[in-house]
Amino acid sequence: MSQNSPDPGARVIDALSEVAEALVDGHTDTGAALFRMATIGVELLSAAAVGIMIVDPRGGFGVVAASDERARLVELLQTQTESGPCPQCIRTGEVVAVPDLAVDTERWPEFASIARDLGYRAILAVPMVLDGRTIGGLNVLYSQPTDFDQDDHRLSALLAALIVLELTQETGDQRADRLAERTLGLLNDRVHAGHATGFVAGTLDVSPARARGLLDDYSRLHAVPLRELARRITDGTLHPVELTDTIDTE
Amino acid sequence: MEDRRRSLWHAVADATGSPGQHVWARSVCRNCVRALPGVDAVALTLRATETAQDLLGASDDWAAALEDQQYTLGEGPGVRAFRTGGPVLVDSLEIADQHWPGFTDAAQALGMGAAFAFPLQLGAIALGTLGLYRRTPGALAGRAMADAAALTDLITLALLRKEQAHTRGEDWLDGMGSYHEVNIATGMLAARLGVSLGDAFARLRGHAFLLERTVLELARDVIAHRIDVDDLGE
Repeated sequence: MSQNSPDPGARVIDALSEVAEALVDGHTDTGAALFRMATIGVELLSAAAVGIMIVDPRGGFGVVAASDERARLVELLQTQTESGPCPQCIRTGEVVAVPDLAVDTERWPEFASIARDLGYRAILAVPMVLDGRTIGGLNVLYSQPTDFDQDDHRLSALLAALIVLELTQETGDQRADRLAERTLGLLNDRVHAGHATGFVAGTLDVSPARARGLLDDYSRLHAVPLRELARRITDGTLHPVELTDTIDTE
Repeated sequence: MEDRRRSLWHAVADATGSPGQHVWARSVCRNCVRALPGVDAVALTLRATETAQDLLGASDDWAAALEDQQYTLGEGPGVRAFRTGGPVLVDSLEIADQHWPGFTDAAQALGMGAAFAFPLQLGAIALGTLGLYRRTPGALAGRAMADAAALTDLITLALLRKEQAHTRGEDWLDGMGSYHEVNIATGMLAARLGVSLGDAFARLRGHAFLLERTVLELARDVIAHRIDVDDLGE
């Protein structure tokens, strides 16, 4: 493994156990499961951040999960609407490794520039493949220049496969239908979460990052999935000020 | 990809009438039928709640009847799509029967083979559904699926337009690939102006056009408090 760590074997086992758990616990909130897998990916791959992008049926690529929703990670990933390490890996079906974004600036200058501004120095983009077709890409970002070794490649490929499994848990002829339904549903959920975040920010006069934090805290403390919480905020059932009650009672 | 998207844009932009009118909806539905291989008929239904719906237009009476059955019975692919916020792809009557026995009986009597319902939505902004129907069973082919999803987006944006004046073609395309910051700015505007999200989104786009800036640029200004929200009030 490229990153030094005590007992890497145990770390891998722990992370993979968590991923397996996320896959089989009978949940219906795919977005939440993908977020779990992105955060587990950070641990598993000793990375600074992980983002999951998917081929949008309408064209281009969309972000479906990111290990940190409050930072500008999502915006960085979204610069890859047409080109970037991830679109490249999706188009070719091959891993794209950029060991040093300060050196390799020619291929994707905008991405490299913003990545460096955010403190990321290296990226490994891994294709997510289903039935021989690349349906998305896993973005693994590091804060140091990184020479990716065999273990990095194999572990990230393994995580990518498990993510595909999460996205397509269905057998038989209906699998393509379910993926399409789920993809468009997931992408719309994220737009919805953006609306809710903005609405909370505007109502309470706080930053979007703070607003997102309030939503996440409430979601966790009250065991309400973010998808459902966003709906309650935007349809007026739950007033944003009730999100701050969470803090007062702690 | 851009050429394809432009041709789909024409299917919506070249429809007769103005977005929101019955004649416009019928025209859009007929254009969709032409644009989508493997689809026999299309209907556009506005929905305020799961039970309240209004057929805005359809390519023919057959599609209109299938939408009407869902209203009468309170169940079906369109109803479900609107409720769950995701497309509902029903490849056969057997599959439909697993979910909606009542609707399936009516659909069978009407000669339906497959149905594909797409919510007309942008995040929390939910306007209704686009119903695609076919007389024979089978999945919606990959290309048709992608095109249907894109058409749904374009129709949603058309319905959200504040100004009816048609502008440059690119204006229609700038809402695609929904940007995180635009969604956040939309929410902030809705909160600060006390308007609906649909209204806030329309104002954001409308003012971006007036100021000759991109929606994303304007959204960033809103988030960073570089713009006085009241300037976007009307």
